[in-house]
Amino acid sequence: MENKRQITYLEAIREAMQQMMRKDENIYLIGEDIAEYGGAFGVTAGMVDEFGKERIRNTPISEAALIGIASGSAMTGMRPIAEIMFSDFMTIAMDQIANQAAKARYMFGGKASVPMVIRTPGGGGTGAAGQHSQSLEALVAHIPGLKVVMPSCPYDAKGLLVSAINDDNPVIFIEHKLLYKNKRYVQYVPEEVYGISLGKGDIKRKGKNLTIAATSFMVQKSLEAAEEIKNEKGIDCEIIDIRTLRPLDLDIILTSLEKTGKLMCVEEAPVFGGFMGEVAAQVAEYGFDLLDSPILRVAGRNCPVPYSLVLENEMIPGVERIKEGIVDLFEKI
Amino acid sequence: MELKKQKNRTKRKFEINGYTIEDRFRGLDRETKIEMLRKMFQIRHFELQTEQFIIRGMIHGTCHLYIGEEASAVGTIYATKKDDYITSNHRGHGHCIAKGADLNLMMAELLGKSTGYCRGRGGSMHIADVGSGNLGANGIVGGSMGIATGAGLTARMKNNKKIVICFFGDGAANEGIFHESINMASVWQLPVIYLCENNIYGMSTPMQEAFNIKRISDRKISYGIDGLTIDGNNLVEVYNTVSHFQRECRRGRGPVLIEALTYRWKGHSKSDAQVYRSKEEVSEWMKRDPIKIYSGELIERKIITRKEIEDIENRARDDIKKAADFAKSSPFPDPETIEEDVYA
Amino acid sequence: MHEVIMPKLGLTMESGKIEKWHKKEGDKVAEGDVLFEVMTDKVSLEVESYNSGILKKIIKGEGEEVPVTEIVAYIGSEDEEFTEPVSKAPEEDTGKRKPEAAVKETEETAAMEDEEEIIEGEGKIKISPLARKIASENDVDISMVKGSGPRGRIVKKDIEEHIASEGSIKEEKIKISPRARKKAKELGIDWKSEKIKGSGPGGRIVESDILSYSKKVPEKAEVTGEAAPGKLRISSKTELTGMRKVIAGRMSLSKSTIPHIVLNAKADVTDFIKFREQLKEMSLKKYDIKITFTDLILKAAAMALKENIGVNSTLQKNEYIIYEDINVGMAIAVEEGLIVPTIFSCDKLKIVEIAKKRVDLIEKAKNNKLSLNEIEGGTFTVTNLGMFGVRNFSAIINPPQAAILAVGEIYQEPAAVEEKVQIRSFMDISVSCDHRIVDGAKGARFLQDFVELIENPAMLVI
Repeated sequence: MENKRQITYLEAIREAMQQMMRKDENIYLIGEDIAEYGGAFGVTAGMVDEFGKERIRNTPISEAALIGIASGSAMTGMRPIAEIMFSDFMTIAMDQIANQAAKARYMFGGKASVPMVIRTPGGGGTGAAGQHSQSLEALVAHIPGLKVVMPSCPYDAKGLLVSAINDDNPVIFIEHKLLYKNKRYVQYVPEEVYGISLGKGDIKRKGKNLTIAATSFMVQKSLEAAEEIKNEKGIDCEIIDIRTLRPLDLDIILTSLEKTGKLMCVEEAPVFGGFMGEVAAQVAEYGFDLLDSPILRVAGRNCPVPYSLVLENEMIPGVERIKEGIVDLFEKI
Repeated sequence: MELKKQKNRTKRKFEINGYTIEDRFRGLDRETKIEMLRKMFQIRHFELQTEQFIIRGMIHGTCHLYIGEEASAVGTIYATKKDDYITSNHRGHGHCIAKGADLNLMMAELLGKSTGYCRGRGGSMHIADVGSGNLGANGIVGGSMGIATGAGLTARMKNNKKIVICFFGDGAANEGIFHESINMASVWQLPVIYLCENNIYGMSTPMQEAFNIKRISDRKISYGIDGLTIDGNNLVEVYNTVSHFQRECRRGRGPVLIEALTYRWKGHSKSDAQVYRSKEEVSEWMKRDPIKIYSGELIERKIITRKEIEDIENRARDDIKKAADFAKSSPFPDPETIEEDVYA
Repeated sequence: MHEVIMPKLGLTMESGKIEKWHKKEGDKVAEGDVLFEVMTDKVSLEVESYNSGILKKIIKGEGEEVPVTEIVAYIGSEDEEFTEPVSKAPEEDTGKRKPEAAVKETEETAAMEDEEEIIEGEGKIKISPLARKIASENDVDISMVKGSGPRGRIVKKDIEEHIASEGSIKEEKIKISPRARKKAKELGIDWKSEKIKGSGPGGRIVESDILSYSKKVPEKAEVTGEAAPGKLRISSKTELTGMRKVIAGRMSLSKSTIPHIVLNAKADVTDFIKFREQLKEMSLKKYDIKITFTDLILKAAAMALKENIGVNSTLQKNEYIIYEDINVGMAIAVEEGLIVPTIFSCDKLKIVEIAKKRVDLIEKAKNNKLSLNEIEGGTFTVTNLGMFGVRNFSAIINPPQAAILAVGEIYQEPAAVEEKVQIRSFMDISVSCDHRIVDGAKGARFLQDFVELIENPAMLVI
């Protein structure tokens, strides 16, 4: 293991794009400040040197048109990867995402397809406050026609991005800012190109007492919480990384529940109307008899992401809140 | 709205808004000239039939009729190549027919039948035929402007020599994406003709309440592109203008903004009482019927006789009747298929 | 003569009121002239003429509220005499729609009766809506309640009294997790009456409580001794409920009210087996679906019914009703008993479509997911016990249908073929018919056609 290279989440994403672009010249990047500047978080840094400005295509600050252009070019034979600098800005391009890209195939009776990836960083913890920290996955996961992917680690990031690029549908690929460069989460990532099927969850930790379903950065937080709670209380958590919100892998959750009988859902977005509400509803619908306690959601508080560090820590679930939730499930609710 | 003065027909070239445009129409073969008239009649009768379906409650939804604007779609599309792309808008039946769509499949779509272009999933506002280069009508005002620009980017990146016609209305010119798209197309010199069919009303709002400029084409200055305003009811003028600029476009000279002045005879959609405009105004414009103008032109140029025109109209009427019959007798979609085609 | 209709002028417009006629009868009308003004929910709109001529007749006058698309006037040519045309508006959508007639019918019946009726088997139970609601809230089986209201209608009081006598209102709510509830059911533990202590938060019974309780319960005392005359020992006693009860009711209704006539035949299925093998391989390759004998039998039954449509029928209130739709029910054995989901328009489906439907229905039946729609509307039933090694049997008609086809196992027997003895495969078939409407000859012709199809299976795909 030690001899194998360890790379960051950001490097894994970049590598997926580079390798895919070398294979298929129809793939190009489009976004704001992605060429020489390398994107706001440096994900595309250096790529312009290899691929040139035709394929690493800077746009003016025009989110709506850049997604519209990506969709139009996808409908006519290209395979764009569009970058939206912060996932919050998807709202500026929402007509193009929700009314155009997502609908084209269905409304045109199956005769069009929009093979496009929209990569965008989501999540808070950076002190960027209300307009640059949101987790808007539920907003897009709600719309039929879109696929939604949220990788939690470098290995998944590369494999899922490769599959997203190969997919013939518009895929919203939501990355997490706090995972990009954090050395704590580096991982062995194979150098060759590999894909991870969209629609498959992953068990990130095996356990027998409680199933925790989590997304993105919350998978990492849940893993930490699980280790601590195991030592402190002897509760053994199984952690499922949802990975693809849509299509959702419900089976992996139900299978785990057969063993544990208890489900906790962890996400960063405000709990009201969050994606985990869907997970909870589906489990209640299809796995009611597996439940030995209510489903608990540990999620963001119902407010915009605040600026002050104290407030931000309160808003976004951390290891402590996840642990409290676990204890509650066994002792209180 | 004052309209362009008459040009001298003996000349092979004429001036519009400072651009010298060649009379390429003159060089067209007779067949194509007649074909264009036939298309205009087909559009007209398609829309009249649609109106009958609407008032009889057979169209489950709304429809925006193109009657009165036929010259713009036909003139534009016949000036471009068969495999060029178009994007259309909510008032899209005319563009679709001009682009060569199958009338049966269109009519079936309007009635929500499984045989329709979109298997009954799209309806009037979403007819597309991607295979033939029609990237779709669009229910969102300005919604297709980004898509058209994207098709332009494909043409540019694949260097496939295609161009894109982006049809939109005066209303769309005040959407943010109008600005974003044309600006980017200009920066990247994409082969897109932004063809604004200015029918003077954005739903009920007249131009003077929505713009503080005389001509929408004046906006070309902001983007550093070519642009001009033409008589959208005059097929020959539309044809010649688009013909001129599509060459420029194809040669990589970047996008162009053409404003075609026209008028819709019918209300915005089926629930429009048209309280915002006077009957006099409507009848003034009806005197400028694009089909009459073009037929007159053909007769004057001795291309066709009145009798032949009547025959063409009758045939168009038959085509529409057949399409209507096809649509009516087609089956509705099987509800079991409802979730098909959400994903590729 | 051109019809002038009340146009549909808005997405939600259902009718319009004619405010004013701009033309009167006998007036000349040109295309585009305003004929009348109409007030809709939104605004007042002018309606223009689509035709030129003379306004011959005004059907709907000023102030009248007219549903959209209804005729309000006629326009004709000068020399045309007005006669009320017989036809309605000419534009009609002839595409296939849902059977609307059926919907209308039930609406009418509902409107005619002032109380709700629940049809269970043949007997109708009259019950007031309120009583019905309380009954369902308290899990009361209304067939067990006697009505004291007018015409024997069950009213609120009856349900309340019934509940009181049964003591079935839950006195205290026992907290139990869904998982524990399921486990209890599996182990046959009645958590409602047995006192099980819940160890979960708030005293909730959780799965582990059920498990430990089940271990504590002593094994039932073993039955010892020998059978003695005059004294039958009972192994278990279960009240009939749910599906079992429905089956019991329907079967005795059928057997006691329908005079059955059972006809038997034997089909040589040697070719049939080969044919199915071929189809199986082809369809596995092309559609990834396995065609079974059942699919072919269903298809054959539907085709034979089409030829003998009189068998596809019912007797209801002294009326012999022949159905146009051929909806073949397929009897499926499930854990709780028997269920008969329907394959609609079976005669019109391709074999592979039938196979797909069958797979889907069986899957749903096994998981208890069949919807009411899927088990209703059958016009004929096919039942197959071949897989249990049953050679032949007579089935009981599934009311209100008029016939049921029973097929047994495939077996081999020597038979004379072109004067030589060969081992051939056979299948015994019987059809039970309601003799009141389907007599022997009619049933026999059906059976004959069915056998012919099975013996010449290529006919199934023609």
